[in-house]
Amino acid sequence: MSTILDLLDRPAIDDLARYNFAYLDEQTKRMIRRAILKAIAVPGYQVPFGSREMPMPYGWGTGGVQVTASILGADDVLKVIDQGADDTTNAVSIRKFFQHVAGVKTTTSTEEATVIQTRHRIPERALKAGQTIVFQVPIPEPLRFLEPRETETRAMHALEEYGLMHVKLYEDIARHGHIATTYAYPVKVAGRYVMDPSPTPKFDNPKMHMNPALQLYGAGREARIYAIPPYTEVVSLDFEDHPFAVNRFDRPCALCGAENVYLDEVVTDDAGGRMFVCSDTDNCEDRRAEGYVGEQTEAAESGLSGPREARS
Amino acid sequence: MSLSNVGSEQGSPLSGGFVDAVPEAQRAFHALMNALAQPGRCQPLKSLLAPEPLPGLLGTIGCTLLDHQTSVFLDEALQGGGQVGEWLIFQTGTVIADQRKDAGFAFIVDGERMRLADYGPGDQAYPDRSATLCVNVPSFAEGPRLSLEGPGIKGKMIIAPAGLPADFIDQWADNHALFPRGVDLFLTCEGEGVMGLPRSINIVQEG
Repeated sequence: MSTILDLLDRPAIDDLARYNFAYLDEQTKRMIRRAILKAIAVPGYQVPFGSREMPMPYGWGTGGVQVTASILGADDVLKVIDQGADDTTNAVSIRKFFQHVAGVKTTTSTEEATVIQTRHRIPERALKAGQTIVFQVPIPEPLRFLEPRETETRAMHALEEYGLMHVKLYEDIARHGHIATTYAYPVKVAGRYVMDPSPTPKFDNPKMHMNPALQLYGAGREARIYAIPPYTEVVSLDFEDHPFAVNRFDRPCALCGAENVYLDEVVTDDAGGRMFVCSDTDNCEDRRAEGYVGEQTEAAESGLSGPREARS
Repeated sequence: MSLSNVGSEQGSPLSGGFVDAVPEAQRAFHALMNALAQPGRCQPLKSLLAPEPLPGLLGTIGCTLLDHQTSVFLDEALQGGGQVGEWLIFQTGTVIADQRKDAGFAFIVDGERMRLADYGPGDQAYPDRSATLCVNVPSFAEGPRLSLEGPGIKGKMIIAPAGLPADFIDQWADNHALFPRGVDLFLTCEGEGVMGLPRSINIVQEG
């Protein structure tokens, strides 16, 4: 008995029913492309766009996927990461999506990629000129949790009225003794717009400043696109007596020994065992291939406690 | 009869345009995006067959960015004679704007007489609702030397496009002072490509 899948495999049907390159129709791409151009011209300003339904739920990166689909060409090499990892569910499904609808080459190597879609980290390896990094953004409006009305936040951006954001950071200090915001840490772009860098850990905020790569941000549900051009000033908001500082880790990566990288905590058993490993899996694998070792490399490779096995 | 044979004589609204729209539009957009992200740096752009007097590179920008949701103003030199308007309407479905201030795009070949302030700078709350001016110039190297600074530029960038107004620096200073409002420019030059001047950058006379 023939099934639907058999029918789909038949070349005649395949010729009939095909998606446009990169899924979106050309008219949608043009609309998104025009929004991207305005976003680049006004760094940090959120350009409204006609966000489309995508074949994945909101929250799975529909904004980033639409931006990527609109910029992607047949000769691009795509890398997709979820936090720092190439091999978690969201990254794998989006990578497969573009392999299917665009047939582009994909990679896990930061170095090799021309387009990197991310939720939400910026890779440890410095990005190069000519690369584009596309962020998946859930809530693009940095003032949204302070002022729920869109009409009001739009006026605040228009008037460059960002006092409320400083009050929020001050209240952090009053309550906790320090600025306790650790992700989606607000930044000021090119001295004008306050922008939400998506829920990127604040550890990555300094990488946005004067980055040689083009940074594009897409929010599907909220229908906004914004951008940071290469070599643009990006300042994390702070106070003179409470300057911005990134989180430090008190130990290196347990697998590759890297210091000054962002680490994930991985629970290894039900007796309180845990390890801290690189969030950026590509960076960690590169370092281990170069021979760097961490304190639990041996145990992980012998399979006694293996987050790597679980991931692959 | 294949569609590419229809009206293939030069000057018909049906001739020219993209042959393979999907990859060609992507490559052209990639050039435009990089042009705006790296102001003053010339990006390669393929010229399309377009009816006189529309420069082929403006034809490429038209086919890449225009559709029924956009409007485009044609400067006097493009309005007079020829079938530029008909060609753009047929190829893209765009609306030809009567007034400069109403247009989302402007195609300009007489750059020396353009006035940036004639075009819509957008709204303070919606600065994206501003005009994009696409200006074809005779040369990227023979004009006065201009120094660019701002987002997208590492340090300074020197350009020397010819065919801009004599008081371009002053006009640009007014445009830049409106930030976040203001118009954005694409300069095209046959044989060279496209260069972007977003409103965010500062331009001064070099030397």
